[in-house]
Amino acid sequence: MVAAVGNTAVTASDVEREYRLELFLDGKEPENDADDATLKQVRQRLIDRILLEDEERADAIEVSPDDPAVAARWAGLQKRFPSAEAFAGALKKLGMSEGALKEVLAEEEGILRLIDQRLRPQAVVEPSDIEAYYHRTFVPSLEQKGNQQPPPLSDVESRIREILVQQKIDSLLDEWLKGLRNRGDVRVFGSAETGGAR
Amino acid sequence: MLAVFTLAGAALAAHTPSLWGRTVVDVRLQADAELTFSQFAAQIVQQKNQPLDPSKISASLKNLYATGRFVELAAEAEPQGAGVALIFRARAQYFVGVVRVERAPSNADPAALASGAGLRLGQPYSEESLNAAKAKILAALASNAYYRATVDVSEQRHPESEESDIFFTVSAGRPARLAGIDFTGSPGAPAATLVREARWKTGAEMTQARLQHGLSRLHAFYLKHDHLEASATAEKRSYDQRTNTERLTVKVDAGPEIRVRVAGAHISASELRSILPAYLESSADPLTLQDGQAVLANYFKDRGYFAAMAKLSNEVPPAGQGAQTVTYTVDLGPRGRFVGYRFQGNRSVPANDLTGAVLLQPSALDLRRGRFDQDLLDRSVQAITALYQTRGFADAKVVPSLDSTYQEQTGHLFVTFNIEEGAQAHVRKMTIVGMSEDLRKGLGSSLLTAPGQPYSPARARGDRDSILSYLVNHGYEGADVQWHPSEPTAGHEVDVEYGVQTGVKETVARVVVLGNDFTRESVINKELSVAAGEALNGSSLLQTQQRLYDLGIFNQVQVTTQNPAGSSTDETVLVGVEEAKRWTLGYGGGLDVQRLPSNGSSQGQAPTGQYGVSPRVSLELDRIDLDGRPQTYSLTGHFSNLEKIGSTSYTIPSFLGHPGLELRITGLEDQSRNVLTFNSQRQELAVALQKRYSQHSSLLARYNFRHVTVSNLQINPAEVPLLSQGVLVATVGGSYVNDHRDNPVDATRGSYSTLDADVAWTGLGSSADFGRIIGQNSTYYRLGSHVILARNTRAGVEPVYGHTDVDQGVPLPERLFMGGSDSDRAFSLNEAGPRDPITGYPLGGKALFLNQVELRFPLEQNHLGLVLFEDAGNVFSSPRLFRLLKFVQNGPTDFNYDVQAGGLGLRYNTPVGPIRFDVAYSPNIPSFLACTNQTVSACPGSDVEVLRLPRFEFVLSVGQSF
Repeated sequence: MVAAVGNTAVTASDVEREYRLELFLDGKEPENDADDATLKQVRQRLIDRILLEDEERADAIEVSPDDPAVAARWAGLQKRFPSAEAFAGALKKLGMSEGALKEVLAEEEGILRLIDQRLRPQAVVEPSDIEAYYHRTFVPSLEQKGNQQPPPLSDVESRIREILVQQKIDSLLDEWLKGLRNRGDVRVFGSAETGGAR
Repeated sequence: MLAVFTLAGAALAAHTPSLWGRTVVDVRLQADAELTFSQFAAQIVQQKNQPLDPSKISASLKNLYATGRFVELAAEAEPQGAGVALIFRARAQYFVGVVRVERAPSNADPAALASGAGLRLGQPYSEESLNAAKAKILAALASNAYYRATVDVSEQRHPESEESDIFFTVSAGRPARLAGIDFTGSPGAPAATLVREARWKTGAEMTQARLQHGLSRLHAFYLKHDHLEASATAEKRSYDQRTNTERLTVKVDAGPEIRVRVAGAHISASELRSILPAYLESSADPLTLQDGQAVLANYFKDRGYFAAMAKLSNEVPPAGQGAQTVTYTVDLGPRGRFVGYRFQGNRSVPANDLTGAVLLQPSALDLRRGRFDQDLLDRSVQAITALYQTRGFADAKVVPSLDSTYQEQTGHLFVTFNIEEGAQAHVRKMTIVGMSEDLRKGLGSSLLTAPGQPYSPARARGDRDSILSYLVNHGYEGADVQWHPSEPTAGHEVDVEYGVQTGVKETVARVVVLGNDFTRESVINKELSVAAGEALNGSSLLQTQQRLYDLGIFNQVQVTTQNPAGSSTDETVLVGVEEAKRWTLGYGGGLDVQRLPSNGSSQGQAPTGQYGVSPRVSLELDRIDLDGRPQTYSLTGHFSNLEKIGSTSYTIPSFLGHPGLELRITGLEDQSRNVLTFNSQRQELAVALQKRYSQHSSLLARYNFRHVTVSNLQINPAEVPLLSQGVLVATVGGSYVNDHRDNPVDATRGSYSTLDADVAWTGLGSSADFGRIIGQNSTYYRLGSHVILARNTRAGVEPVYGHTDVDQGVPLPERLFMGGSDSDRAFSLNEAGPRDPITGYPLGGKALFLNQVELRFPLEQNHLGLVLFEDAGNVFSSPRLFRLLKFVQNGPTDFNYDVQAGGLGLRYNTPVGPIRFDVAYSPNIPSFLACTNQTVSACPGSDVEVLRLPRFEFVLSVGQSF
């Protein structure tokens, strides 16, 4: 056991599987065992996921594997592999069935909806923020790429708004997770490395 | 930091030939507590003779951790022959056992420190919770000025029960002294005044109690000066490590001066302060002031002004220009008396049952005008209607009619409740679904909702609660019960169905007793109402706690389950006890100032005694929990000018296993001279068996054997040889006590009755055959906020029987004596009744009667009080000579008449009871004969003198007279 959230144990196998799953969802395959620092980060993300899943249940958010959002994500995942056979092979290597993977995607979708439901109302972006971003970040970045005629603010306002909202949601999420970790009964046991016999 | 535990199998898979897939030949659990594999077999998914599977290992670890019994878990696989052995290594979760704080300083209660640490019996604990508990204890010590205190924590683990006893050892160090006090805010008074009012002293320790008392006194100071909204809080305590002193900063806001007046009616200032919410809550906000209207109106309604109303007006002057004035203008209305009420139309429900629903109160001795107003009347109607509805009369109607000139007297109110009952619904069929037959049988016929019985939703809901309570008491903590009635039939019949979901049954796996260092485990086990294998029953846990408290040897008893938040259904019940100190020393004192025998011999003193002071001191040394049993040994001593008593006793509660039955064996030596006529020495052995039937009543049976000798006899010299012989008295008898007083030291309501009966029998070794029966009854009534009526009647007889001489029969020290501060105040100590015709000293009698009536007036804030009393009675020569209606003495040898005394008393209340000063005057105090020459047995006429007892008697004592 490497951690516990309330009465839910987190084993080294869980961390190892989560590490492989994250790589898979990014369209990669692990070549070597992960180092200690990487596994620590994975363990933390796993703890955060368990805390958020508890909040999801409290808000009675349930997403079915047949949900259109899950189907869209599935399709996007498949596109990351060169072929359907490569996708199937990677899935087999991961040790998960299609059904089990769709369950995971449904849970992730549920967490995204939870975050959106709880935090988007608090992520308020003022017009002055959009304007500042346009002048200080958006235009300079286009000019750096050689674009001397950036589009007017009115054309990109909604995109910039969404970027800023997402940034605020990320910041709010960090604070929320900090609070959940402090309030929840989270225990971490030393290193996440699976190296007892070395 | 916890050590690293890993899934070694997975690690091995990385660097050695993989163990995954090899057959598991053995599965073991190794823990730092006495936990076995079989206890957790259901949680372990990876079984023997199956291939080693990482997903099953992971699931097993998760299941084991979810039980809440483990802090850390790891699974290790070791090659064993051709297969692999799987070992689950665990660090067990330990739970809080006994928590003790040792070496606490004298101004900090160790039990309070332990309780404030926040560690609860049976709760899981961790390093963090121990550290938090230690921090709380240090904070509590600092709040009592022990800033330099340190606390060491040690544990004693019990692997057999996973309980851990936790000990906090305090090194208090020197307490900090108060260097000074700073006041911030707007106190409106000089700092020196505030310090004086709070009674805080620089140089003293500022304990938490002193701080809070001081803040309360400041609050009372401001309230007295009409600053109703004043607040005083301790803002900061600044400690100086170098000098070990602290400065206290107190924030005080005086608030505006607010004067409260009542116009249109009279109410004393002290009474107003004791009832008005503005004073009680120290607030002048609009809502609190408005609440005062209803409170004042009710105050006057209780005094017969049934239509009284109070209206609030508030004058707020400009800032800095005088006090705010709050005026309650009272319109009293006419004064009346609520005489009573009756019911009409109640065919199915007796009036006695309906009376309990009526909130109106007819006039009575303690409520002269009765209690009536429209709101009470409306609520009474609602309560009567609701009562009918619970008995199945869904359409019952109650209409009150008020007669305000009852019996043609203006202002005399009488209410008639006119009731139309309507049809009564009954239960046709009642079914319970979802409950096994065995469980159903245990429910018995306790439900009100049964075929043929009246139906109402309230009764059905009550039965639902009864079923749920029954299930919970049989281990079904998570049970749920719903009920559904059918539509009523034309004949007003209803079918009721109860749907039950029992959930999982919780049982007692074991009972663990903690904290008994001296008490035998068998003594505790005998009082347990829970046992292993039984259903977990909340009532049984409470009963166990009560029975252990009743042993009288524990300061605290806690009965709870281990790890209450855990998911297990096999519960460990913990019984945690804190044993009381086994040795206790008690002491007390008192003082009597009245007419007493003078020091030493009675020779040469007047037969009426002299005024003197008799201080009293008592000491008691108790040893409880003897040899681990709830038995008590006591050594007691009482010392005063009049009496010296030394006694030793042995008490066995729950005698022969009967709860409430106590055996006491007592031996005593007594030397007394509280009767002027003689000094007595007594050696006595007593055996008594007492049965307590309830909190209020008990019965006692006893055998007494005593040897009594008298000396310094002041009687007819001819009788001295006979009466100065020692006497043996052996009696069997009993007592009954029924005590319903609200306060035994200073009762204001209730009653107290006793009956004592003893028989002295020569067959038991007694020198004479006689009986003694004494009964007493006292009652107390509160007539108003400042008047208590108390009365007491006592009567006793000592009949002689058998071959004993009727005239001489009862030995002198065994006769009935009366008089003094605790009985008839017409007489001084034991002076009532017949007297020796030669010496004039009292001889006692064989019958007594006393009747006392007191009007007690507790005055300013209950410290001072005034009493008017009337005592009547006497000691009579024999029961045949009871003369209660005879008030005149027929000559100086006639003592068989009723002596009257009236008087006045002052009382001053103290924590140990009221100090009492009484002055009594008796218009018919007896006169008596005495001979100027007391060496003769027959007094010549010339030497006879007629003396009279003083008409005035003064008494100074502690405690009420009855």
